[in-house]
Amino acid sequence: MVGHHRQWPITDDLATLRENIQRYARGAGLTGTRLDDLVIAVNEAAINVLEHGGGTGTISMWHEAGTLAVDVVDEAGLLRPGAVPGERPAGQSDRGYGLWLMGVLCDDVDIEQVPGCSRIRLSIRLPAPGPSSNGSASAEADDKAGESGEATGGFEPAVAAPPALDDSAGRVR
Amino acid sequence: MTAAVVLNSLPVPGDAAGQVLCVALTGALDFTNAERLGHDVEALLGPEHRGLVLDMSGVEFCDSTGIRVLLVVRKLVQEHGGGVALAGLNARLTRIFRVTGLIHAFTVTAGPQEAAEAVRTRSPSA
Repeated sequence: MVGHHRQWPITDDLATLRENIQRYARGAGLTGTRLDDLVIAVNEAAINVLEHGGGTGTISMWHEAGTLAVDVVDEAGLLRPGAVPGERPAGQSDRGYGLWLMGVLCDDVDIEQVPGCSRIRLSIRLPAPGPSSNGSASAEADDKAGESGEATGGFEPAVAAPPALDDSAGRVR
Repeated sequence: MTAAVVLNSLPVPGDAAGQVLCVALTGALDFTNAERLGHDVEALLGPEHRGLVLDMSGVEFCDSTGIRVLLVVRKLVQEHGGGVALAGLNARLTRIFRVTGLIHAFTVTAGPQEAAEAVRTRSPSA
């Protein structure tokens, strides 16, 4: 089953973005260091869009089969598959540094490129729900509470699969 | 844009010569406000300062841009012959400092008092 989708535009209001990511991820069951990892990683991805990725883009988030996924799509399309460095870059100022961090902090980082945009997908495994957990329903409840500045994207309910990039532009492999 | 990180200078007990600058930071440090924080700290640093303590206990978030700016500040203080100590990193800050390996670039302590002592003892003129 797919936890319902959320989508937000990338703006320079990073504080609100972090709150949104944190609220959703916590509701999906992510806690502690892994929650920190995800918030840091998504923030780095958003920074990359602001700094190198044309300045505008979209973040969407869902969870499915024990994995929380975040798609960060920019409108520059310069980011290429395989761009995540395996080793820490020497300088902190290049784009590779943030990508390297995302790779370290997330369980999987996948980049896809189509003409006009690049999509980086950050995935992190959710902890198995404990027997005394008082609610997988908290994902829904939490994330309905106090939503602010949130785009009601076109993805709402019953998403059968994670949304792909717009195929109409012709996919590049 | 994230609200500017607020700076408050704190007195440093036992530093009669005023060689240690201690500043408490409050807010979130990210891409949108890090450069400004760098300028603000730089403006507080005087030629008399041989060490800098940043009380980070009021900082709830710091990203790679924030770390970059802290490294610039560190370089500046080192040019004065001093060091930078960070006090009171929360779990999230500790995480990014550890993962990036940059925790080793700074003296990290629980509270500002120990941090002040740490930069004072490493100052050559102390």
